[in-house]
Amino acid sequence: MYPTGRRFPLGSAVSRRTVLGGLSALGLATVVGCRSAVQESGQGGAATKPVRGGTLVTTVASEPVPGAYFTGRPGNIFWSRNVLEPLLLLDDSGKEIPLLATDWSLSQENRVFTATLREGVKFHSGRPFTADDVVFSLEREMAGDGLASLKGAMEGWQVKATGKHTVTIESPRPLQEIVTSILDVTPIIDRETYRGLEDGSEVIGTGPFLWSEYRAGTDLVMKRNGSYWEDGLPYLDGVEVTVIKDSTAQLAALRSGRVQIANGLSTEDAKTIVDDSTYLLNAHHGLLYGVAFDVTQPPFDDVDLRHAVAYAIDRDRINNQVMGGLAGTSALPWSEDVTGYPKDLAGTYSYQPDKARQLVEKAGARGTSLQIDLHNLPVPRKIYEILARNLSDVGLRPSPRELSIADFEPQRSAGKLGPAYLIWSATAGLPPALMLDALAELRPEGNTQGYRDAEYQRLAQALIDSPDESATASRLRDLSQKMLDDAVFLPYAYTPLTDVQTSSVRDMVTGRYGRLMRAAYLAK
Amino acid sequence: MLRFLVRRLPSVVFVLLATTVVAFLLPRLAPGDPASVAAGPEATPEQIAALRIEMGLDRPLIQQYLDWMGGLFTGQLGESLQFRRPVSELIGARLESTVELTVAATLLMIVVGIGLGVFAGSARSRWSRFTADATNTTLLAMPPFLAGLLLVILLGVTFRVLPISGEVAVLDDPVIGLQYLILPAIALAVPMSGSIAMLVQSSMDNAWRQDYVDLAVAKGVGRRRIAVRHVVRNSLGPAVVAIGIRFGEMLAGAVVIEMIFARNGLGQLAVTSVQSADYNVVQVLIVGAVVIAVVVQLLTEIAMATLDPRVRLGV
Repeated sequence: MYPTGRRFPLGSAVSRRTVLGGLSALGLATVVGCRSAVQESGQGGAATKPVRGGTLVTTVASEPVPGAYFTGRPGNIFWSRNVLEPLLLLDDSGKEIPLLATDWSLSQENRVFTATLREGVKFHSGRPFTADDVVFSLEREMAGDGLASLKGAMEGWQVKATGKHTVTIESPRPLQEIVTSILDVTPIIDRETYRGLEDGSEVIGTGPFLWSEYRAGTDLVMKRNGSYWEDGLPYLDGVEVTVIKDSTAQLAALRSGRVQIANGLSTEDAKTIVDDSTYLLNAHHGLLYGVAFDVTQPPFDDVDLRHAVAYAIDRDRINNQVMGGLAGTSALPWSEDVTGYPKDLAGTYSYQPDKARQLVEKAGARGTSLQIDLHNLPVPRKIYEILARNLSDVGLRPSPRELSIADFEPQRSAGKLGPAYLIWSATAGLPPALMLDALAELRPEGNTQGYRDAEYQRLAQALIDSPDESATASRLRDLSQKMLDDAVFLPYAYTPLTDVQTSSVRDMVTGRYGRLMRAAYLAK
Repeated sequence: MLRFLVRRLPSVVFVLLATTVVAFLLPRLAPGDPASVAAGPEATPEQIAALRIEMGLDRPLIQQYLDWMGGLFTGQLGESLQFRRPVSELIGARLESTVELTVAATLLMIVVGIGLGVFAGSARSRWSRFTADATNTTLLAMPPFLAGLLLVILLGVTFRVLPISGEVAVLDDPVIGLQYLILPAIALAVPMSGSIAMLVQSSMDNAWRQDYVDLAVAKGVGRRRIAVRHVVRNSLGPAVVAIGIRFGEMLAGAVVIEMIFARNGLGQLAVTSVQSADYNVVQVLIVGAVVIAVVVQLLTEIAMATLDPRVRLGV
C-alpha cells in the first residue's frame, strides 16, 4: 500500500481542475452566454382587443387520435374542431353556433331536418364544399367509421342533397331532441382523403387551421388557414398540441410558460395554480360517475340490496374529497339542462345509512362479500375507498378488483364485470334520448348489466319517439322513476371537465368535442 | 477481437431468438384487448369485433408471429395498433430524444461518478474523506425522480434559469436544445453517479493495497503516476460494467425523468403502448432493449479488456 504519512499533491488535482473548469465554461456558455430557452417561452399580457399572430400551445394528457373523428376523445379537443368543422357547434351553455350550416329547421312532426349550407367554403385541398360532402360524412358516420359513437341513434336516417347547398335528413323518429347533438359530433370530412384520417397521414377539413405536422402520440402542429371562409379569421398563426401525460409535468409546463392551456391536470394540481387572474379554470360539460350491477346473479339480483347501496353512498363526501367540490350529486344520469329534467327526483337517494342497513337486513345480505371492479386509475381508486367504507358501514364486505382500461372495457362490453363495477362516462350532458344509446349501462337492449325489462324498454322507446317538448318532459319523468326504482345503474357524481389556461388566451369557444379557436387570440 | 465476436455469435443469436418469442407472447398473455382500447369506452361489441378483424388480431398466434418475424428480417417492424402508424416511425420519432438524454446523462455520470470516485479513492485527509463520503451518500440517497422534482422547483419555478418542460432537438438548435437537456440529464445522471463513485472508490482502496503498488513505491515512482498508471486504470473495471448497464437502461427509456420533464422518449412510448395493449410496439421495444443490452455487454467486455491487461476477451 502507498505510504500515507506524507502529503503529496493530489494525483488527480490537475485533471480535476481541468474537468471542473471545462464543465463550468460549458455551463456558462450554454446557460448565460447564449439565447435563453426560458425567455423564449414567455406568456402574454393584458390586451383586450384581438391581436393577430402568435402560436397557442396546448397540452393534453391523452394522445390525439385522428381516426376517432366521429366521437369525443380527450386527446382530440384542441385540434378536431379547428381542422374539421361540423355544420354547427354547441358551446358549453348549449348555444348553437352556426359553422358550415347557416340555417336549419325541422318539419313534418320533427322528422325532417333541413339545413342550408354556407357558400364559398373550400376544403384545405382547395375543393369546394357542397351538400354532397355532408351526405358523405353522415353516411360514413352511420356506417360506423371514425369510431362513431352515436350511430345507433341515426338508424333509419335518409340523408339527401336537395340542392348544391341544401341537405335534408329524414328520420323515422322525431329529431328535435337529438339532431343538433348528433351534428355537433359530426365534422364534415373530405371524401377524397378521409382514409388519411385513420393514421393522421392526411387530415383535410374546412376549418381555420391546417393539419401541418403530426408525430403520433407526441405532438401536432396546426398552421393558419389563409383561405378560411370568414375573412380576417383566424387571428392566431398556429396552434400546437403536445402530449404531457403527467399532471405534475403539465403544471410545470403551465408555470414555465411553455403552454397556455392544459387539459389533464388533476383537481388537486389545478387548485394549486388557479388564481382567477393569471391562471383560469374552465369548467364545462362533464363526466358521469356511477356504479352498475350485474342483475343476473346474486347478490344484486335483489332490488332491495341495490336500493341499500343507493342509500349507502355518501355522494357529498365523494364530491368534496375526490371532485374538489365541483360535482353535482344527482341520482339521475341526466344533466340539469335537458328538456323536462325531473329535478324533484334528483335527490331520491340521499345518504341514509340507517335505511341502507335496514334494506341490507331485509335482503338477508348482512356480511355478504362482493367484488367491485374498477379502473386502475387515481380517481376511481379514491371513489372506491369512500364507497367501500360506506358499504362496510351498512354491513356489506366489498373488495376491489382493479383492471387496466385494456382489460376493463372488453369485460364491460361483454357484460362480464361485477357483480358491481364503477364507471365514468363522457356521455354526461347528452340529451337523454341519445344517452340511452350512447351509454352502455342505459341501453334498453344489450346493456352491460344483463338488465332485460319490458317496461323499461317501453319507456325508453317512448322517450326516443317523443314528438315534442311536453311529451319529452312527462316521458323522461316516467323513465327516470323506473330507473330509480330498479336501480341497476346508480350515478353518484356528475363532474365538469376542466382545463386550466393562462389569462392571455381570449375568445376561445368551448364545445363538447373540442375548443374552437377560429376567433381566439393571445393578448400581448 | 474478431474471434471473440465470432465465438459469441451463437449465444447472441439464441438470446435474440428466445427474446422474440418472449416479446411476442408476453404482451398477449397479459389481460387486455387493444381493439377495446381503440374502440373507446362506449363501443358496442360489434364495433370491437370489427376492429379486431381490421387489426389482424383474429388470425392464429403462430401466423401473427411468423408474419412479424418475417417483417423483422425485412425491416418492417409492423404497425402500431393504437396509432395505425409504422412502429419504425414511432420509434424513430422518439429515438433522438432518448439518445440525446442518454448520451448527456452518461457523460455526466462518467465525469461525476468517476471523478468523485477517484477523488474519494485518492483522498487521505479526514476532511477529504468525509466530503467524498458525504457527497456519495447524498447522491445514493437521492433517486432520479426526487432530483428531478427538486431541480424543477429550484431552477425552473423559483429561479427560472432553465427550461423544465419539453425538448428541442440538439441537432436542430444546439443552444436551446442543450438548455432543455441540462436538467433532465443531471436528474438522471447524478443519482447514478453515486453508485459509480462507490465502485471506483472501493476498487481503488483495494488496488492501493496490491503488491504492484508496493513495488512501484519501492522503485520510487511518484504517487500521481502510480494513481494514474496503475491504481485508477485497474480500478475502473467494475465502474465500466455499471456504466454499461446504466447506459443500456437509459437507452431503453428513462420513464420517470421523461415524464417529469415532459420529454417524449422511448420510455413514454413503452408506457403508453403497454397501457393500450399495443402489442406491435411493445414487442419491438422489448427486442430492442435486449439487443441494446447484448451490444452493451459486448462493448463492456471489450472495454474491460482494454483497460485491464489481466482481462482477456472471451476467457
